[in-house]
Amino acid sequence: MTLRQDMLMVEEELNRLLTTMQELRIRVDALEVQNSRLLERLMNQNVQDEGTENLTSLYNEGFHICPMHYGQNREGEECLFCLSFLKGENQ
Amino acid sequence: MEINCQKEDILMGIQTAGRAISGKNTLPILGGILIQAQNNSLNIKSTDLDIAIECSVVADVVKEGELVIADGRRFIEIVRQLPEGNINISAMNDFDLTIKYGESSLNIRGFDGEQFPLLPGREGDIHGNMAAEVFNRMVREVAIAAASDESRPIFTGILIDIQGENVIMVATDTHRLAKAEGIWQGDDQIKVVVPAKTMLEITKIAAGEENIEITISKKHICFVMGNTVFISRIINGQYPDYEPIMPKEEQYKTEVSVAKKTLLNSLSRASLLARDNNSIVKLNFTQNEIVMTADSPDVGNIKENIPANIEGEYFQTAYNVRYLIDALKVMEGENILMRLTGVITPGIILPQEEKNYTYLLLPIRLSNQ
Repeated sequence: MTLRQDMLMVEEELNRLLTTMQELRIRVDALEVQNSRLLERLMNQNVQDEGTENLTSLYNEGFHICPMHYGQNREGEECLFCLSFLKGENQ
Repeated sequence: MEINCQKEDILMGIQTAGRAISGKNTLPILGGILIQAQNNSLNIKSTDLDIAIECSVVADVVKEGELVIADGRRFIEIVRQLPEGNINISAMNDFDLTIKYGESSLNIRGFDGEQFPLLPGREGDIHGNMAAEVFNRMVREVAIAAASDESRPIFTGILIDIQGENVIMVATDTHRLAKAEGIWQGDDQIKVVVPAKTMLEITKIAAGEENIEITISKKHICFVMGNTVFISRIINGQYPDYEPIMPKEEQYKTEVSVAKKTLLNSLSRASLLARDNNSIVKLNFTQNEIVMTADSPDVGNIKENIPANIEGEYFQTAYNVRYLIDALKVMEGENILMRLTGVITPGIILPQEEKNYTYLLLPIRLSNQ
């Protein structure tokens, strides 16, 4: 492989990483806002040892509670993993 | 570089390899096709750095060499329009190319072959074979459930889960999950996630082939079908454990057996109205029939009675009609089985005659539930 090839691949990879970083930054910002809102709500409720209830109500309010997408908006659709997680919590 | 070959041979090769030509303009060379003349064959390669395709065709090599045709897509169009018969391709200088056909000729711009990115190798830790027909069936059956939302990359992929002599493919967008099983001959135990779009591309190349040779390394997966090699990146990340979300045997309350075509036709009609109402179709499982209803506030409503054999509890539930249609379209056999756990809890749909496909689907929770 020539040096030029190496440079081209590095440049392409860098571009890709920069785009990904930018997308991630936007996503992280959105999640931080969402998380602080959720935390604030939980604090205001001043509820302890009511994890499952909180999770259920969060889910019913339209947020993911599964570990993969916790706190993200479900956009009106049900989630197999959230329901499975809730079922596990209830048992 | 100079070769003589038949138009149909090179056209087949560039059409196959050309599937990996990059549509993005980030690197001009990725819009090109690399051709390498050596050992009485012409190797044709293209890549968008996510996938790479290499195809070999028979050619009479007069002088060995390689170069990149700058506009790969245009080259395919040009070759397609050439008259049938023998064509001669030769390098004019270091970069450009002359194509001679009959008494005519045309020139095409190129790049130095040395500039083309080095494609990943075919080596890997896990190696095995699948019947192409089985591979294509499995991909077709599960790809429908993969997410199209790129913000969750892991769900845009198909999980290939090799367990001894079995290979399981799984895809989910978290609202539904499709799982297909098949036979694997080779090394055991590995899980990799491959983009669903890539897998669907492979099925197009594998159509008509008997066998697919698969090699898996840490970063790539390589598929060899006849004279074509297809290499794809693997999606990084942990695929969620899908087993806990599958209902347990004791949870099933209702079992519905219904003719697939009848149900599919009814759902297709319902979808025309349901699309104005969040794609909601209601299915009322009652004695010997499914009463299907859907409505659109501005267009109208539909009600159909579909004969079915129903055992267990009777109830009404709602689904996204598109999700049901997607599943029925890819399922084999004449009859399907719906095994349901309740009004708002997930149920499965599977072909009645075959047990190697399962489609898990969540009902839609209506506002009054």
